[in-house]
Amino acid sequence: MEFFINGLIGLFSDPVNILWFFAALFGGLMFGAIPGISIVTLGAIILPFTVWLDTTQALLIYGVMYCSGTFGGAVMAILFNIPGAPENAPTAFDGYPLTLQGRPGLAIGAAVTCSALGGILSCLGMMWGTEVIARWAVTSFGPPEVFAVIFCGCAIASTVGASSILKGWISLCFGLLLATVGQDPVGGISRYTFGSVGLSSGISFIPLLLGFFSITEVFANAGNAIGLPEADTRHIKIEFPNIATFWRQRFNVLRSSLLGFFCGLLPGLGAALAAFFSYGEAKRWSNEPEKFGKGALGGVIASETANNAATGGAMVPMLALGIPGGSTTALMLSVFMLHGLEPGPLIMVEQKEMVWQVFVAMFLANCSILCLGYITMRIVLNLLRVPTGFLMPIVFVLASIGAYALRNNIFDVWVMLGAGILGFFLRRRGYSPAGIVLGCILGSLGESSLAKTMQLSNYSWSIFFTRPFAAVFICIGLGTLLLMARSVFLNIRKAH
Amino acid sequence: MSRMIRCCVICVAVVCMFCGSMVLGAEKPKDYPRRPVTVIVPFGAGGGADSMARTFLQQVSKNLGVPVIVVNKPGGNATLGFNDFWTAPADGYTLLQYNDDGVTHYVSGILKQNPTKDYIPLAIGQVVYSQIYIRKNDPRFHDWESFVKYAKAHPGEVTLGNIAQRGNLEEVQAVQLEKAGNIKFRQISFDKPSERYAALVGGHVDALLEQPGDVAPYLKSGDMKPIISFTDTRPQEFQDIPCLKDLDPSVKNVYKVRGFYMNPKMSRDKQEYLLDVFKKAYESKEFQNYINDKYPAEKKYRNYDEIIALLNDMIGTYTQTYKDLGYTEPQKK
Repeated sequence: MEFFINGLIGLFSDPVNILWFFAALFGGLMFGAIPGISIVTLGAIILPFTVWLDTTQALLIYGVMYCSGTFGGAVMAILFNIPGAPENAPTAFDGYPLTLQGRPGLAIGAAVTCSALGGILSCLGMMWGTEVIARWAVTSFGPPEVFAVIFCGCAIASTVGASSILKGWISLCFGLLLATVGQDPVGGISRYTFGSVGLSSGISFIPLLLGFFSITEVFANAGNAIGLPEADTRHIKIEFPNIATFWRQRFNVLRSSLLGFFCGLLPGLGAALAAFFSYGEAKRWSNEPEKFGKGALGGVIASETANNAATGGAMVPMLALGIPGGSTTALMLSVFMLHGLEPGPLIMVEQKEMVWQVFVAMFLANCSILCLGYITMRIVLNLLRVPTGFLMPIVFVLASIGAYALRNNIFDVWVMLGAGILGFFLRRRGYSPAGIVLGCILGSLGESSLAKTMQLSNYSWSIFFTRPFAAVFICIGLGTLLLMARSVFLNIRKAH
Repeated sequence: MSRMIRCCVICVAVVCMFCGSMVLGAEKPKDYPRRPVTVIVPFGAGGGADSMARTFLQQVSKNLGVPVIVVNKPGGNATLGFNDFWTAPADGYTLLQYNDDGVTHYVSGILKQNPTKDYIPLAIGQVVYSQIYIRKNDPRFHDWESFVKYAKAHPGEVTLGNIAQRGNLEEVQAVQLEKAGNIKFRQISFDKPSERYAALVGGHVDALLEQPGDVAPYLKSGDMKPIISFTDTRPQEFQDIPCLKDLDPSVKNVYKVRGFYMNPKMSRDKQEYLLDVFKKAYESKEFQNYINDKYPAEKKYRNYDEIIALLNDMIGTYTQTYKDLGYTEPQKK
């Protein structure tokens, strides 16, 4: 507590800090909301300029941007079915149907509250145990455990967004297949590249995401040649999910916060898995799982709580061990290095004050999301009034820029367009574009950790059952698979 | 009279300008650079290559007088960024950062372009050596001797975290070490540096092959300690641990060489000018401070001919090493 107050004083003793705080908050919101262009883009652009800033200020900017950017993506996901980043994709599953039902305010209200809640809870976790947790996570979670978590995540989230279990699995497996394109993670051997340079670096999930969500939406709108549904914008207000609704979701929020924090902790997993994972879990534990994907508020809550909770989790190994979990934390690591500081076990001793200022800034950023969210949302909701004829071309251009900006590669734009066309048909058939994206993200992570596990264990599969954490996750995953197989089997029998 | 004075003044001015340009180095081409210069870094943002590029190019930008834009283009085993550089026009506005991958890819046939002819060096920013690290608190071994003893007692069990890809610097080094110590590792390839470090610190691998500049914080915190250096003589900072040449006098050490390259089809005056600008950037106080912090294997500036000699030497070494190791990858004719 003492450190918290000291951090607070340190932060507010300099008006410039406050200025940067708000600049970063808005910057993160903006860049988070624009599809394809993420806070990583913004972070990379401003990185060289942070040399002229105080270390604390520079880190403050990144910390705050990280929190607000993760939330920013939710807005577009809910309003237009265009997730700003992969971790916002599950938000769109239920957020967009809510918009179609004329209740975007409810979805955004829930997203605002839960992003803030998840963020605040994970900040508390980060403040409480950066040193202890980081060491525990790194020691207990090696490649076998990471693979087990991914396997479990795949099994649980497989049916997300699909009309049936079977179609969910087909979507996921197609995504896993796409993830194998390019060089394999061990020997660098090219697979399915057909001699093309673009393919040899693999199919990135960002253009896929943009294609499946944004471009498909553009096509769908063009196809229908009708505007967005008659959501009566003049009367759209930001509805709070009222306390009663909220109380019903208390376990969902807690569970998603924990899952989000946990996924953030593990290097390489991060916010996207966190969101899908908790969405799947929320669906499983819900009393009305059939409502998921059709506008269940619980889905929005799970996904948004978890992706913001992952931010605090990801900070832990970055600060305590110098191990970044994702691209944003990797950028923060560069900020440390530009200022001649090196995160690691010593930083909590040598730079305690500065670290706490960053903690406090992130905590406050999450609190501000709550207030700011409500103010800005009123403005953002007006976007719904823009006629689709004007909006969709803008979306198209933004998505193309986003896909290109990823690696400055025109190939990614083609991938995006291809995915858009494919997604248009797949979605009509009840397959899940989100499942494909998830498969693609988890496929490359999972393959790499499986390959390492196999090398470590001398190609013995027993390693997954002799290590307790790995065994637990593998068993949960297998159990989920069996239950699904059973329900598919029963359905088939019923049909006959 | 006045005409004579004017003539003299002009002559003096011309001579001064000429001398000046001699002293200052190559002459600035008339209208180059007029817009920002892009440097393609075929590695991810925030890594060792990227941080070197950004520090170096800041100084280049100061001397050029236009911004230098760093474009990170990772992927395809560092060939994706290279292809972009290769297809860009030879107008001096697109340059490349590359490391020893350029040489190993050429020798192993992945890239057809020879780094001494098809694209040519501007400057070498960093030459760094590698080391093997273990955990400081590992109960099984604490130095190279005990490590070898353990490895011999448990054949095929010792795991080594690495970014080994067939024929690259790190894999060649690991194989050299196996030969020198007469031991056998199980190499585990970690593509991301953070995963590699976490694997050693968290106890999932027994040893790690890395460059000291990249793991400096772990050395300071006492999470890792080096047990052998891949050098010819013991580095100043690590006098008490053996180097590879101590174990195997016949070994030909390889180093991580990060440098900048340009297209040889660009006009001569631009080439001369850029070489000069990159020399100044290398010699700047800021960059010197940077490389001194990163445990350099050498600290001297190499001019164009010296870099070409270095690259040819590297090509020779890798060709020979591949032959020794019995690699049957498609060899370059």
